[in-house]
Amino acid sequence: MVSNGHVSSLDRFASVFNAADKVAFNLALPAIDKALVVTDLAEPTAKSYLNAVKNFLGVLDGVHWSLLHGSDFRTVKELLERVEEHQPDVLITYRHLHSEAWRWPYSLGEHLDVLIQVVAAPVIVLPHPDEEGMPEHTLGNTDLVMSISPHLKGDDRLVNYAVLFTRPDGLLLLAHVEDDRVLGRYMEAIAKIPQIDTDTAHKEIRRQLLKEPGEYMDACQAVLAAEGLPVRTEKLVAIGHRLEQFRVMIEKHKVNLLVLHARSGDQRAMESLAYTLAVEYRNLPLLLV
Amino acid sequence: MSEDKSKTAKHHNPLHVTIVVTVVTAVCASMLVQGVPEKYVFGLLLAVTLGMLALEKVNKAILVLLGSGLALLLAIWKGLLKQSDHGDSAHSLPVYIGMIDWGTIGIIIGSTIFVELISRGGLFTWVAVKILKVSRGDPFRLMICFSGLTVVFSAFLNNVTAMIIVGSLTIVSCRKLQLSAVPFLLTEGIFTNIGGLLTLISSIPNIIVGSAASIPYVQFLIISGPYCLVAFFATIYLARFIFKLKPLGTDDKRAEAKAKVDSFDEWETVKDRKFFYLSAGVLGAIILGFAFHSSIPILNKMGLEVVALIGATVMLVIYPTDVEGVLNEVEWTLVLFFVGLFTLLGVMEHTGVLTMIGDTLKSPLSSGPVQGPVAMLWSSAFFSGLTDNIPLAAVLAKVMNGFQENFQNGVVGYEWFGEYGHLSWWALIFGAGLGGNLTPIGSASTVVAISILKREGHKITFMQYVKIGAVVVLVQLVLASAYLFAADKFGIIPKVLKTLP
Repeated sequence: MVSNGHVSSLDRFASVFNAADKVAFNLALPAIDKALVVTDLAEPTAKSYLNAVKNFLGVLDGVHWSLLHGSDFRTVKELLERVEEHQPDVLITYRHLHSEAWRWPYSLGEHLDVLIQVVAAPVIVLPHPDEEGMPEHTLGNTDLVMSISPHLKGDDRLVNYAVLFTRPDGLLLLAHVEDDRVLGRYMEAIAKIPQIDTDTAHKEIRRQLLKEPGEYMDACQAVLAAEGLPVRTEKLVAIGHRLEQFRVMIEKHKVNLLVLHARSGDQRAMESLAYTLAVEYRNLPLLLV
Repeated sequence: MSEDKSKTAKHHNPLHVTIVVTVVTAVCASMLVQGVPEKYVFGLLLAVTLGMLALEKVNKAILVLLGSGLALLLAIWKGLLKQSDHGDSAHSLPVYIGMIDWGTIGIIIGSTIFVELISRGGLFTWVAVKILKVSRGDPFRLMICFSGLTVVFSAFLNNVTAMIIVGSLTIVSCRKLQLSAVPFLLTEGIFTNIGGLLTLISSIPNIIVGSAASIPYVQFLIISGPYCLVAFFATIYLARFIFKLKPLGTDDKRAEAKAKVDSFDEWETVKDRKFFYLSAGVLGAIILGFAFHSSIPILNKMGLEVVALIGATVMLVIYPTDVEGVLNEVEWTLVLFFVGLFTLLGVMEHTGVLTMIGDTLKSPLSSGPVQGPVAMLWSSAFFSGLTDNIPLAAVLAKVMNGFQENFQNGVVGYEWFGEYGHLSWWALIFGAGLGGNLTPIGSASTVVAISILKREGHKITFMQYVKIGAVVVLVQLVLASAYLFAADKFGIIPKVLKTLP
């Protein structure tokens, strides 16, 4: 048995060393050799759509492009078979394939729902070809890319994809929002535990929660600068209602492409934040990794 | 610095303590009334106190205060203590004040304060992270680095604090490197005791025995330093063999491990760089103060404790933000324990108990120039492995002091002390320091190491530890035996360690 004094000293020093352990960013840009554009359009219209996609994703220079049009598949099963045949490194599509439901902004459509969960490759979700009233910056280029995550610290894969899709001399916004409702719940619990100094806990937990993603973003900036990549980065770290804060950031910065996680571990449902934004921002291109 | 096992003791039962005190008082008082010689009565009291210390059922400060209080009351009742025996009668100091070694207490208080403040400045954690990076994450290099760090830290810090700092870094880095922390923490526990041998102020037994033998700081370092170096490498290779540590096999693994330890930022452990640099400067000055104490005018007229107390005061001046908090870090249990222990031993000296112990020990210790020091080394190591080495060192230092005084006063039968008494002093220092590795309860730092492992889900049984500890202690004691005689042969250890006033 060690005394409480020893335990508290041990925890104090362990905290100091844990805080000294900075999460590094490892630059490993994913290789994209094959891109597959999936549409439900007739062949001539699909080709024209493919050109628009190529124009938008100018960063994918030298990539082998493939196209699926409406007659190539009908059911989800057929679509998955076509994708399996092509083995793409990235998929580009839109919501509600072979459906009129795109007019009702409440879901993604059965094809996209399954694609996102089943296919290992990242999926770029573009506005529906018949969508009207798109803002000017939509489908122009990827000059302004924003990566968002509830846990950005250490998320090298997300950042690497975001870097890859940011045009040379473009701006990459690294965004992280701490959910104040979750923090509030913990603070309520802490306030009921006499052994914990509530004010110190509130101040220090808040500071640490914001510091860690900020440090990770600094590491990303440093590595990109050291590697000489022509991508500028900007940190966006906030605390508040997560969805509201992301909405404010997206709308304020007129983002061209939003990069976020759609899958989490082995869960079958799509990430809640990604799903919510994918349903709401129908005019905004999304890269779901 | 010290072996503070009191913090690991459980709460005592007040009724049991009251019963024991009442019974011991009654037995001792009735023995005195019946005319039993004082040395047997007070010897019994000392044996009961030390026995209960070994059992660790009661806080050691409480225990020795009870023992010393009872001894004082009985001695004064029987008229065995006089004001002139100790202390300064001109200033009417109570007799027990003169029995206390205020130098030792001053070093403990002073060093606790300046070490706490230097620790708050982040110097130790900064050094620890730097050393972690030097290891590049390779398991064997990591063991060398952490062991070296433990030795250096335990030379300057309380052994438990050194173990806590290095132990917490070990846990954090082993998690990151996906290594088992067991070999590292057990080895670090062992190395705290080697580090505790390095300087005069590295451990309490060193302070007690070193002061009793009047060994200067630099001389202590010159004698113990080479042994610590030899023991360090021997123990490292022994640990490598015991724990079957292998270096990383491929360049990729080495690069990955290096990247993992490089992600630690040593400056993150430092909150205020100005205070960091100041505290590093003060630590350097304190070390120089200890080293050149005898050459510094005015300071050389006072004890080493003055250096520690000046260092503590300077640190308190440059860190005014939490003076009360820092002062609360002083190990008051240890301070009160020493007040009680020195008083108890003072009474024992005057009642003839220490002479009686000395007479008993004289035969094995004077059995020959090889046998005597070896007997002291191995027996003190054995008892240190089973119980607290501080009272052991304090009792034996008093006994050795008696031998030395008898020799220097030309008492017949103590000529042997002139021949190899100086080796016996060092045998006591090495034995009391190294024996703690024998069992998991032999030293507080090992107790902490095993407790950290338990928290991490690794249970080390008593026998599992002894299988490792016994081999290590055996090797270290063989080395220490050989080293003492080699050092003596080459004249590194001076024959006379103390001159009588």
